[in-house]
Amino acid sequence: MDYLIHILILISIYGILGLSLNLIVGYAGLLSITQAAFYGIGAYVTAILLTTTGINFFFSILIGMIITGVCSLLIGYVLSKFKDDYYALGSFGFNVIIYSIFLNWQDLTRGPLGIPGIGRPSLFGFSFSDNLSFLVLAIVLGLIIYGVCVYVTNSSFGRVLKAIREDEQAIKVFGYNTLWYKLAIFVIGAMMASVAGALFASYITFIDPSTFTLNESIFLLAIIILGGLANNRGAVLGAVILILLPEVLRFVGFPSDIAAQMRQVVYGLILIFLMLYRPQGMVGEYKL
Amino acid sequence: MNLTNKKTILTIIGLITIIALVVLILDRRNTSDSVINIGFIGPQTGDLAVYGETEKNVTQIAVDEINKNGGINGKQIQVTYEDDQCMGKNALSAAQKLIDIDRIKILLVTCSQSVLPIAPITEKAHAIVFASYAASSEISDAGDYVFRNAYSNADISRVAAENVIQHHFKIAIISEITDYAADLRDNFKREFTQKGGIIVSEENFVAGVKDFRAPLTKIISAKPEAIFINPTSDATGIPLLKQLRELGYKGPLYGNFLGSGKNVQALAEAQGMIYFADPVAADSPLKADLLEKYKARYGVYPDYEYPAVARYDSIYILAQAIKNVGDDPTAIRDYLYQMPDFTGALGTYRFNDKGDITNVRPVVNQIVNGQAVKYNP
Amino acid sequence: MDILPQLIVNSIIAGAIYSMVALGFNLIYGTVKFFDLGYGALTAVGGYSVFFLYKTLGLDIYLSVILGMAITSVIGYLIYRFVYSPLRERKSSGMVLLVGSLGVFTAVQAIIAILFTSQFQTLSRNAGAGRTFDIFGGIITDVQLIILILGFVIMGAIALMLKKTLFGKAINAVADDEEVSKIVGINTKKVIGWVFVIGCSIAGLAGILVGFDTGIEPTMGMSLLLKGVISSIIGGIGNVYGGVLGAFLLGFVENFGIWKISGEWKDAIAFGVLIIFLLFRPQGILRK
Repeated sequence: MDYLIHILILISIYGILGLSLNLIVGYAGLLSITQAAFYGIGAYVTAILLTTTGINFFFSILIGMIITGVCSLLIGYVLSKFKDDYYALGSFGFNVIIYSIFLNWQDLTRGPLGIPGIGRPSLFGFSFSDNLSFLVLAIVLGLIIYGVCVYVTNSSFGRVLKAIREDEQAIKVFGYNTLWYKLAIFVIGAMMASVAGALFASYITFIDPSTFTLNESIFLLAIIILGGLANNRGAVLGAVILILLPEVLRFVGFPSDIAAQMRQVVYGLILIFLMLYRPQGMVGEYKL
Repeated sequence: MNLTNKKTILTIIGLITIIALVVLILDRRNTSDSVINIGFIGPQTGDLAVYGETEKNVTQIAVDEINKNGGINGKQIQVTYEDDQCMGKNALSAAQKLIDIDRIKILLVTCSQSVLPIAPITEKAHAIVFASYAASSEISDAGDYVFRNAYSNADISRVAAENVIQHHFKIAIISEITDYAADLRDNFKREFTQKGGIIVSEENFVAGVKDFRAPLTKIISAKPEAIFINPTSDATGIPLLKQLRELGYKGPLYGNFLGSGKNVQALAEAQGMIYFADPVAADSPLKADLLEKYKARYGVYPDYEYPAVARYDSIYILAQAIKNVGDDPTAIRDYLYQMPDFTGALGTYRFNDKGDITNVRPVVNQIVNGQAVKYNP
Repeated sequence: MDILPQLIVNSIIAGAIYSMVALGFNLIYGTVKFFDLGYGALTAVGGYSVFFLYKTLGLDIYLSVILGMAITSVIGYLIYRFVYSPLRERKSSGMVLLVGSLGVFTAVQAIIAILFTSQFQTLSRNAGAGRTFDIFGGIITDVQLIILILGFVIMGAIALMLKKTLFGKAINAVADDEEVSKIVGINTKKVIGWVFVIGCSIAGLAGILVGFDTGIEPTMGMSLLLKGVISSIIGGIGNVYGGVLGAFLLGFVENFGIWKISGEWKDAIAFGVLIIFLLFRPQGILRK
């Protein structure tokens, strides 16, 4: 049962990540492969604040969101100068740069040593140290973010985004400042990812740079492409499938040397087959 | 094609999810009382796989021996192996699975970067963690249930600083950016500068990088009296040594545990290197015996002697504990702290109040003619 | 060893390796106009093929290298035939192809890890160091010199092929305008197929040479690929000389850059350069 709770918590965290990236890639059509960087910033802010000061977890989320917001504003602005596949490559670049900062700014992040001993959240005296209560917290936050996503995508703001995705030139003609919209959604998506990071840091109680690499960004991309772009349920669905997949593989009994690599093969094949036969993913409404 | 029909897909997904969840909830290993369950978390894949493999191999030798002799108190030992690639979050997942699903409360863990993150969980679950080759100085304080018969980076750094300072005051150090090497580097810097030494140049390279010419050029140009190399594995250590020599550096060389590996000792570029590492278990019949058994079963001698010997001992130490107090982890913990001197393939030692071992001192060797020879400063 | 000459030599060595990767990558991009990230994994295919042939089977070194390159080009061609070609038939966007190639990269890399384990191996049979040469105070090994010379030879060969041979002219035509080429009667699929064969064999060679210089491991493709991509873009995407120019430029910037900033920032520096170029001169230095 505890293990199930563990898996559900991971699904919640990655569900949030999927939802956040979906806003950027699925709704706005920006092929961003750097979401792990924002995930990481959120995680490190919470980790550092919780281990060095007495700041409450929930405040650390807010601070994390602000810092991530600022960073993503700058990064999103630079990226907005690029188109399509160049956008993707540029985003790679930022992921690598931020990862380097996590790894090398040792005075702040302890570099490869990572930050152990991160505390669990507490609210008005109640501590979420029990995994079940943490799961409830994660689901609540997840639902809030899901709600925000649904609101954003169904609003007129969301409609403009979809229009930008389909034909940016056309909508510019109508006088819309497309840059502002693209930046806005990029920042919103980034801030949501930072919330996931805060949850992750507090749950695992230990973080190090290796979680926030380019590979993780690619994994997040696989989640939303599998689930289906431009569909909020799809993002969560993708997270469910790809989190369960390695656990199932582990139980099916692949020799442990092979299991980790098999998982990678499956990710790769999923991406290939999706692109070939079902680019809109499971329940998606948009094909790249 | 009907298979891509939305409804069909969703149904399939739903079925798979339900099956997966059922599997997760229901699956149970053999947790009956007639077996003693031990978990093993170590790297089976990745650059550090050699350490995990070595430990796994000797674990199997020890467990098979004990089982053949009737097990412990009549019960057979069963080991469940998990691959963590020496990464904290993988170790965490593995530990949770072992503790929660397989109900295993005795964990053999290989890497420092696995011990540290899982310690909060194992402490809460009252599960024993026994490391044999995890050197991080932070493990000493990781928990009550955490034991190791590995040496600590704090010990190595002290011994290294004592030795280096006798001949060289100004040295350069190049380290890999991993928690092991960073921990060693920080401890060494502190010890060395406290003794009056000066680090004229310090370079760090990202884990896994293979091109060290830039940082090496920098440190050679700082004209150090000696260079201390601090990689984490052969994968980076061997190219590092090669490139150091290619760049024409002929001066004195100090190294970390890397020097104790056979591949490195055979390397032309490593000759003359003085390294501080794994205490070499004093030659004893027990140790020689183990090495022969290893060779007989696996065809080669272990690449690294220390983890082989220490891990082998760890199984016997645990067996002894269980034989005396049963398999309740808290009882085992208490026993281990009070354990009288244990004589194993590693030597004779016991645990101090932090769960570290006493009596085993890091060794100082020099690589001469492809062999490690005790070094006398 | 004197500092400045050594730095220059280091830069040249790095540039030589990157240019080898860039040559094939750029050739492919110039023709099909998408970023084939799977190319990176093919370098590992080359390296491991030779590992198997030369070290495990004990074949002669020249034979192993030629066979290794052949194997890589066959696999590269198959990937084109079964993944990229179908996608291009459907006029899939550059992003779809990029994601598909990402899948290829992930899967191929993991398959290599399953077959050969993830451990680091060296290709050379001898234990001692190779011969070194002193060039004006900077030191370079025999393998590195070979990489340098071969790089220029291949660059020259490709340039010659593109300009003088009929096949080369066909490639240029397809690169310029694929639709028109078809109309004019060029069998574009065949031409592109051969471009992949040639490009991937170069990838294999790059992996093999890196294997002799430092060693191989399944993950070697990623960093080689990224450097190749950066080199191609900054030097002039689609221009055969551009890739080489960019490669040496990158080599110099990295090595001289680390002189002032610490070595651990090397990747960040490389991507920083990429982003700067994408901002101010996305087509690179040399025009197509």
